[in-house]
Amino acid sequence: MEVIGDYANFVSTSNDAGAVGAATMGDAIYAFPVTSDNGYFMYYDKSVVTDPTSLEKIVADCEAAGKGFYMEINSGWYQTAFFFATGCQLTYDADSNGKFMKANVTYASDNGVKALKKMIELSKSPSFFNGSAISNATNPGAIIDGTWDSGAAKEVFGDNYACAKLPTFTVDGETFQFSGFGGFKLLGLKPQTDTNKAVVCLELAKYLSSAEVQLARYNEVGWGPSNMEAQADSAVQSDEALSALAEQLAFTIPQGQYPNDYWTLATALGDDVIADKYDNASDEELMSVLEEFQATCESYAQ
Amino acid sequence: MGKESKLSANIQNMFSNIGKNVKEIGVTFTEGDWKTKVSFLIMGFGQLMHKQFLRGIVFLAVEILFLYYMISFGAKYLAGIPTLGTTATYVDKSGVVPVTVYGDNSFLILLYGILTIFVIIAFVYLWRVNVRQNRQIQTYLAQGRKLPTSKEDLYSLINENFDKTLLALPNLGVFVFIILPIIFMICVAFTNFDADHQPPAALFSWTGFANFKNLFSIGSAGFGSTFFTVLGWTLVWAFFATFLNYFLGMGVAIMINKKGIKFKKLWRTILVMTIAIPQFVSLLYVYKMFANDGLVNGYLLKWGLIDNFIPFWSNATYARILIIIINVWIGIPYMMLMATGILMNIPEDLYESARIDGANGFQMFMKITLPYMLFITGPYLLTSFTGNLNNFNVIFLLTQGNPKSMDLVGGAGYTDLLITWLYKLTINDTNYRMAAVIGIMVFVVTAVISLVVYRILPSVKDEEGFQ
Repeated sequence: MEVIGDYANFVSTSNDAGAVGAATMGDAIYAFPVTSDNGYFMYYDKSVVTDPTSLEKIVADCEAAGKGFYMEINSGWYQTAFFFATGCQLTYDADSNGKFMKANVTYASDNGVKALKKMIELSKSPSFFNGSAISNATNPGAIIDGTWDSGAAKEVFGDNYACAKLPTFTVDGETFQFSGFGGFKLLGLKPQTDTNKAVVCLELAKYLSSAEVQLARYNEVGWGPSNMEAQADSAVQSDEALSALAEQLAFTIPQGQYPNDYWTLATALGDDVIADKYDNASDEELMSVLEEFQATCESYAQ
Repeated sequence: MGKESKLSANIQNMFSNIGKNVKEIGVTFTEGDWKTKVSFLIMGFGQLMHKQFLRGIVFLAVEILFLYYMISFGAKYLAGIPTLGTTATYVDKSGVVPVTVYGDNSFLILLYGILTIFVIIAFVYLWRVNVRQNRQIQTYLAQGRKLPTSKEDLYSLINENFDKTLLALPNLGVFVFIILPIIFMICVAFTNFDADHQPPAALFSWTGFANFKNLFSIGSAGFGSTFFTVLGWTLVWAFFATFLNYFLGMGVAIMINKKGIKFKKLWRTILVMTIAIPQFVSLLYVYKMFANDGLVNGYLLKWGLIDNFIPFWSNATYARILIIIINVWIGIPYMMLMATGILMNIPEDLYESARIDGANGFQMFMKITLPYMLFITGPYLLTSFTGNLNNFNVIFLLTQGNPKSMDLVGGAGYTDLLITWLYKLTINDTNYRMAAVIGIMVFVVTAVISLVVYRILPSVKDEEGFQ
């Protein structure tokens, strides 16, 4: 249900800009932001990884220690860390009814090829494992994961627990900072046919996304708030995982609306990379793969 | 008689039946008295006038209920069937808060429209029964016979019409839970019911054969190449899953049955253990074992047998081979148990005489054991093959159909069977139209294979072969 009037003002004034953007479709606000922590960064083992700022060094350290570097590159969500880093674009313009009008994709470019080449190179490492859930990782040295796994990460790494923003990576002599999606949890409302019911629902949603409740949620389950008042709280400010995420957020783009099919397509691309399909591919061949990817992405918005 | 002439004979039969019925209805009307004639309009009238109160009231009630159903409910859905709805849902933003005003719901129109068509068919049938009864009343009266009373009618329900009493409930269940949903799903294959056309927010409409064209169109967006890839793997999988299990299971049973083998019960128990553990547990565990960072790769690396992990699940070919092998592991025990019983049943004198004639073990297997087994387990092989075509569990618990690829559309992966792909299309992509088409294809494939194989089974062709 569309959020208008005072409720829309509440959403846009009390939350950070990224969260508001994520709740907006076309020029209409459709949800109440609840968290700003749905992004990813790196958890690592201090005794294995000596320099968490460079992907090449991290992977080399993991290889030397016989540990794994985990990143879910067959997910449309983690994959963008590569492509956005080299300067590619992938967003959709939607109208206020949620219909995708236009796709802005620049994957089929030299920058896209560089990102894909790095993905392929990473997938070839014996230390590379596709995954992003630390509880399913058997032998992690470092993992790209989010705040929801901070408890599990502390358990796995013990005293060697550490987190950092995502590293940089080097392709063809050029160095890029990993980017990715800054994600947000949103609270949406089912459309109502009755005005009174709609008002009750809106009030409830407003309360559930207020500073007070967001702080309570942070204290209980560790969800990072999207409400700026709650973000200013000292406990939130000093949280280790949240600060790593906050540092990473500077390099990400806020996650907007994407068609369902995009996620499936991205998994297909990632699976092809992991299955070593492009291991010996030339730049031209990679370019044609990305051209197909881009054309398919564009076909979702018509 | 050839098949085609049989078919045309059937059609002829049907038409002549309809013709006969129409003629009889006409004769009933022209030869009928005024009570019969009124019964054409007011069902049960003739019966009531002749003091058959139970029949009369039931027919009258049926007619009233039917009219009530049509006027209050059925007619509007029936009228919507050609378009599947024209008024779209919209949001009214004129008030303090936006409220949604729902329009037509294509889903309900299609479902209740089909239901209404069946209600009409049932009503026509009952009307025909009503006419026939009136005709019967007149013949009985003309012949001077006594009409059955209400009491006799009730009594017949537990006597000569007891079959109808017993089958009424099951038939209703079959109709509501099987026939209606199947017809509904077949209809969905001819609409554009997918993620962009989700009732009640949006309407969907008829699109004719567009989905079938899409399924067979080879091109970047068409489902063609993906469909044939998935179909091919489905057939290969069903073949290996059935026959590898069959022969290996039989082999294991023969080995355990051999004279001189010790601890027979122990071996059987060990194998049966795999049946005792639910597949949900064992298959998910095996999936983890063969993961890139799983136990198997871990030990192989530790022992220095490999330098780099083997991508068991991310490489399509490895994944397919591994699935078949794991299926052998969980499939052998069933076949072994079955074969053990049958093998013990083969008359020992067949083997004795073969031995006297100088046959060796292989010859005895090919000439006695195998034909006997095939004869008895032929129907099992057929059901097992069709079962494997739709073996959702093993595939979905092991790989979820992955790995995916840019070469495949519709979210399909290289180890997807038609049935798991169908599941993904409905659950992940809500692409109901293509899922319905694939459902129809699954039926076609299964039906063709079952019917063809059924006809060549030795147990069907030569029923008395081993008696």
